[in-house]
Amino acid sequence: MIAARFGVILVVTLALGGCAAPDPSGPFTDIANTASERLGGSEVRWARNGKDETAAQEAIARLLEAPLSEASAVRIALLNNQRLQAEYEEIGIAHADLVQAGLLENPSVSVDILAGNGAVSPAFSIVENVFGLLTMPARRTMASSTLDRTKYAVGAKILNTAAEVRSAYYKLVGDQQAADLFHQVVSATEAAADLAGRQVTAGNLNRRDQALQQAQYAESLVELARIEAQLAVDREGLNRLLGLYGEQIAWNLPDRLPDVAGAKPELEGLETLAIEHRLDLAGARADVQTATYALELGQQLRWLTALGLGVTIERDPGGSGAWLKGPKVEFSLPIFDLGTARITSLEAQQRKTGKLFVGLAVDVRSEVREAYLRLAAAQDAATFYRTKVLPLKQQIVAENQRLYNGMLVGVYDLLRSRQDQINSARDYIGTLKDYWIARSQMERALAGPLPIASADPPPKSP
Amino acid sequence: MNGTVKEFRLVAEPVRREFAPGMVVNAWGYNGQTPGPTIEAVEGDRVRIFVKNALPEWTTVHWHGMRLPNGMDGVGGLTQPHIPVGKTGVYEFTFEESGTYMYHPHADEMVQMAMGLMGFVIVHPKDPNQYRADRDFAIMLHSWDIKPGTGTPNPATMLDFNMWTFNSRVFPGIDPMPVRLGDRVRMRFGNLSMTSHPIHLHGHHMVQTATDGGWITESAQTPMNTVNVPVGSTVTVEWVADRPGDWALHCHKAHHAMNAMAHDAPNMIGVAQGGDLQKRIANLLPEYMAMGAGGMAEMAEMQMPLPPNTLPMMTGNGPFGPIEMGGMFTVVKVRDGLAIGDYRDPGWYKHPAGTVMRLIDG
Repeated sequence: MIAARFGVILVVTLALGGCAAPDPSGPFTDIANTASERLGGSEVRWARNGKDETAAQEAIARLLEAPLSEASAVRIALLNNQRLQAEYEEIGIAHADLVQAGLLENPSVSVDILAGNGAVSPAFSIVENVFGLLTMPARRTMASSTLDRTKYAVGAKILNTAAEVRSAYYKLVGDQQAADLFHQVVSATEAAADLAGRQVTAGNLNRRDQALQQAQYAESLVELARIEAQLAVDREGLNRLLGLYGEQIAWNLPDRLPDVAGAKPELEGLETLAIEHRLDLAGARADVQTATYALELGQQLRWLTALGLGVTIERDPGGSGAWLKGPKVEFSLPIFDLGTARITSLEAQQRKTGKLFVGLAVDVRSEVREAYLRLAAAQDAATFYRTKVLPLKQQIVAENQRLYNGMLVGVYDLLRSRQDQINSARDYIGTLKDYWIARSQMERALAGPLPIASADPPPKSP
Repeated sequence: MNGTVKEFRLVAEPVRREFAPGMVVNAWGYNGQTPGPTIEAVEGDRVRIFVKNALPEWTTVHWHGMRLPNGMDGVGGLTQPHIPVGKTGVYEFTFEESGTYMYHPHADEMVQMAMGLMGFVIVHPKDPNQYRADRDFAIMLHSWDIKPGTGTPNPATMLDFNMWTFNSRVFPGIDPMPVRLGDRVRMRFGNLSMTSHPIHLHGHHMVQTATDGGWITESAQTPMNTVNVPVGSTVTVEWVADRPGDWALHCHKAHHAMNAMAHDAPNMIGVAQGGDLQKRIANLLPEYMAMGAGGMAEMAEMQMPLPPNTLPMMTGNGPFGPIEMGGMFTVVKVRDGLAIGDYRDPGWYKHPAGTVMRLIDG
């Protein structure tokens, strides 16, 4: 029986002994497909060698030719964010651990040379740690669970990075659009200062009133410089997320944010969707699994911490010259360590993973509600600005123009009302930016796209 | 007539008054109009005047300049109880003296007059040949503050009025005054605004023949081209129409012969605003045009869109071009051969050859 078992061990040992380096592309493809599907088809690639790297750089170069879109920014980040690529290596590590868990320990060989009375009596023994063999299925299950956990963590990192990229992208497009509008404010204050100078030349304005106009112009220039500096800083944030440097950073943005898309979402069903989809939650669930397996294994092998089976060959010490052979067994005696502390620890770890899982689920639901509130508020604000505030500001300028036509207000009032209108348009762009950032956060909270109830075509923005 | 008493009925009520085509005002008036109907009677007449209050607040009527029993004087609280909303007050007295008088409320007086409650009382001499004139015009002068783009006078304004009216109309909404060549013309002005109005007649000399205190003896009449009409009084002038033509008649305070304008707008006269600057501002405001550099005459020429219910500051066209007026301005048209009682507009004056200014080069 024992000899038969030993034979099996040898076969397994030989079978596994020569196997090739483990290939983690299977597990990666699993999670890459999931993430890609959640991101609306954006390709997730793991550059593991120079060829992959070259292909990625070529794809990035093509994507950077056109003004950056939300989709192209996400694609670039997925190809090029080195922290994300580094995260992919975790799958390689976890996968190798899984393979490792399927390997037997190498057998140990002992050689005893006993000499005395003019005789030399060598003894050889080979022992395989059978304990490892007995626990191998359980360890493989645990390693597989750990790999799952790593895959989910990587998937969550991909989705979070995409959400971060989207948020940064929309912030930048919105701020860029608002900055473009601010140039018109500067034009207005510049024109007013110019007119004031001409009034002074004609003898119609005193220096104080001219200085008031000049000060407004100067202040608008300072504000413009501040806005542009902030824009450059924000651009660097996106450069980092996209992993870009050197000539790559000369990318362009579209001129304007898209309008609010679709009808207002419904909160109903979103929490459930998030619980189903969130990859970090799936990871926490895998942690519970792993801890449960570990506990079960610990309970099964409570009394046994080492078991070795082997063969001993020894020259007959009686001097017959014959080789004696026989089985060899090594095991630990549970005298000092009854395993109680280990079990207690495993139980605690199992309870801890359970609590972390529930805690995360509670957080996820709250995150979904918070993201919903932000999104709904931003959508309301953007819609209200577009349909109410902006038309009113436009009307104020039109009415001021009529009053100006009748010499009932002066050109400075007219310019100021135009300035006010432009500033409202900037505020509107701010709400639209909030909307798109909130949408990115919503998608992050849902770990996937937001289901939109109605497919109304988005209205044209003014 | 009711027996020996002449009866008049006034209804004080909110009215809508067109100042000129393009501007209608939410005013208060009598019998649907502002100024209210002119009450005309003869020296010595016994009159009974029913005043029904259809305003949103109480009112009274003061018979401005008339000599009457104290209890008929119309000062709310002082000489009579107010006429409540929906009630009718009855005034009854004798018109003792011929002359030009006014009526207006003496209850919440500032508001009720600012809203347009006013009218003339004209008492003719018993002898029709006494103080006889061929044509007799009565013109009530008033001021209003109606913010451009609105239609309701602001009754709280003390000084900064922007609309100046003859009989609650402004040029070019004021009818011309046709006069037959050789007519003795009487013009009675009443002023219930808060400033005086020097009314100037072109091409003729006139004399002041009466105030609301009575007729002026001939020896005391002063020749004049401009008669100042003080606040809260009536002034009557007479003149002989001996020069045919289209003669302007207007208040000589220049801004009273204009419609609403901004007094605090930046002064652009002589300020070059064209070229690149014009283009830069037009980039921001496509309808913008630089204005005021050469003066304001371009205002009268250009027909740019204005706020609703707002008249151009300077407007009206004559046979030679824009008249560039508004407010207290109209034209006295002296013509030969008009029929007595014919007040139809005879059209623009046809000048005899060689009697119109001519242009020469340079």
